[in-house]
Amino acid sequence: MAVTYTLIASYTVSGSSTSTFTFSSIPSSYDHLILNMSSRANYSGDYHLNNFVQVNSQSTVSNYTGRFGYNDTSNTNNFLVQSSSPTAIWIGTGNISTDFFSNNWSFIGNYNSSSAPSVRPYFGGSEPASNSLIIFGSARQGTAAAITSLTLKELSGNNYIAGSTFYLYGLKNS
Amino acid sequence: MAAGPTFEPIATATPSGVTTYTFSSITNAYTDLVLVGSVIMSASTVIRLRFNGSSGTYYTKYYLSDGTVSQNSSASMMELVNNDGSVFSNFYVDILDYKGTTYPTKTALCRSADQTNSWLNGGAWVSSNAINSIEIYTTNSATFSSPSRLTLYGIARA
Repeated sequence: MAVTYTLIASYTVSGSSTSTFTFSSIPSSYDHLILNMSSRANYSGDYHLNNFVQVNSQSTVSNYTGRFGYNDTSNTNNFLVQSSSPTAIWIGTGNISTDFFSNNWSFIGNYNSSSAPSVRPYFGGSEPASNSLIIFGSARQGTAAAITSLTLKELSGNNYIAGSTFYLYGLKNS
Repeated sequence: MAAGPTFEPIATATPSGVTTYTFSSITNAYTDLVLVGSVIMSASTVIRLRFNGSSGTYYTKYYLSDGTVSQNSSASMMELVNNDGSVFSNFYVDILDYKGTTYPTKTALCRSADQTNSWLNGGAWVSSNAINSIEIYTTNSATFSSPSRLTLYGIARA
């Protein structure tokens, strides 16, 4: 029976917190990628949206575009709209060290193609101390290049803390 | 009890130069389906989905990241995502209980992204018929370009 949904790599933060890590040398033997993360950060506020996914170590943030909507308990009937261009491609949901882990799912289709950039949908949720929110968004990588590495970063001086987990899966078409 | 395969490709396609692709004769060996697409089109269009060739009643509600909230209780299809030919639009659709005939609703949940927006789209197809085909099609003469990919997976609740 064909194995089509395979764990490529995982990363768990243990001990010291970290602001960044990289899934490197991503094999080209799959058709799509799925990134699942369950994270907390040492951010002191209610929640923040400062998780960043960098493709192929490309650090020129103005090359990335995207937009996301989210709601929280003060906006239960509306999605708030934010454009992440040009500052980052956002992925995050709320992270607060004393509360729950935030969970987030991303789909990166056709990651081996260099003919056009791939726009990645993501979806996540969290339950910070005085809030709860869901988020959905899109992130467009900087250039039309096959993806060989994904770097996750906590911005604004924050870190992922121990227990945060990140899983990268490969999905085959056949 | 040994678990069965839970995420198996039923069929895959690389459509090119066509406006429509249909997964037909879908097996009833699973409990749920997942439709994954990564597509780039020849021109701007909306990519849609419908089951069994039916233009019957679909209930859909979707949120776009531009703040748009749309609900349509009498749609003849479910919209998945836009594409303008400059990027790969990606979509991931869970189709739950696709064989169900007792309760006449098949539920689809789509998460997608295009050159402008992200989409969060829930849809229901009201029919007592099991889903045996899924049609993915465009709203105009725009065609799928290479290397667009469509794959239908079967999910078995082991």
